Amino acid sequence: MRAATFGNLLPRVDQFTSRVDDVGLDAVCRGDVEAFAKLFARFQGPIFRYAAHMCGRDAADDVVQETFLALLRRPDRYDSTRGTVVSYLFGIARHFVLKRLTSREVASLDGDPDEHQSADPVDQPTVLDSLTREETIDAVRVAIQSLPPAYREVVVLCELQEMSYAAAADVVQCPVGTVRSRLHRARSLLVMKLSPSATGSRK
Amino acid sequence: MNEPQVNDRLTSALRAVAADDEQLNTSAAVQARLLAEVGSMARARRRRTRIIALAIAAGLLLAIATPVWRARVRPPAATRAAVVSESGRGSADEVSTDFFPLAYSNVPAPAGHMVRIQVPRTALASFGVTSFASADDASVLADVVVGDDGLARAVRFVRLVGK
Repeated sequence: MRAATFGNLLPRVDQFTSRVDDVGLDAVCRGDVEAFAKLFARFQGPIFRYAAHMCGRDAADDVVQETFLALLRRPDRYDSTRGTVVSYLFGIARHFVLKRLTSREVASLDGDPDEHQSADPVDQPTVLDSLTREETIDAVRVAIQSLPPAYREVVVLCELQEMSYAAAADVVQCPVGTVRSRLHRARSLLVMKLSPSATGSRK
Repeated sequence: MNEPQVNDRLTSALRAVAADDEQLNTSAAVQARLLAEVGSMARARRRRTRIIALAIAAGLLLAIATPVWRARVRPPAATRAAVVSESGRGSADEVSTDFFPLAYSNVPAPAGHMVRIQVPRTALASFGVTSFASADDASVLADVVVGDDGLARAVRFVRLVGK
């Protein structure tokens, strides 16, 4: 068995708490190209990755473009008292992501897909121990991609983007408790999907 | 493998995916398009600002210059009488038309003066005045308001009654 090494853990990022005054949104609204370049450099990555996980990499570029264009054309819609800039940007991005999902997938985002509620396979062994880092990443990507959108979304926001539950709830527009429970179920499903019986032995 | 171990493994695997995701970024073409959009929006904004500033400046200029110009081209009656008196036509009664604006009447003038000249009687017709002078007069008197810049602003026609 080859031990997987995960030494390159993501540092906790603080960009999800950014408010209007420290991202230069005012300057962007005045048409300051340099300020926009800074804002874009800071937030395009998380939004691109969120969109890529939710509706594919091909569409992610378009989602990012539409998100920032919406911000540029209607900056007055941002209300700093209602949340952070990044929550606002993710909210716009989510809107464009939803337009690209099928109606069935969108319905599952609004409600709670409870067909998997009974999933509780955390005691199962996983294939993760037996894979190289690259294989692990590929396997987890496939497992995430196969999750229902509502679960996939919280995994992307809370696990991959390291957003707090509150920030994720702000983006998803649901209570924090819902985010927490979805994440719990999503993790259980991921373990189940990564079990040797689900993936086939890779030793 | 117990539950905490499975959870730890899963968390580590997810972080590996997150670390791998770091290389995923928006294409340079999208960034270029957005920067171009910001630039064009900034230019449009500057154009709008310039037009508004010019409109405000023009409005202010009109608001300030119009009363000044009116005060200058319509001197009080006492002043007009003084001008007539100074030019040696004091005892004669005069009848005059209203002032007619000339081509440069809209150009503000900080100061000016009135000049009396003699013009052919046909000049009356060009201002639509038909019955001001007798048919025997070959010429008529006219008061022309001239600004300090030398441009004529207005004219009126004068007839000496007591002559």
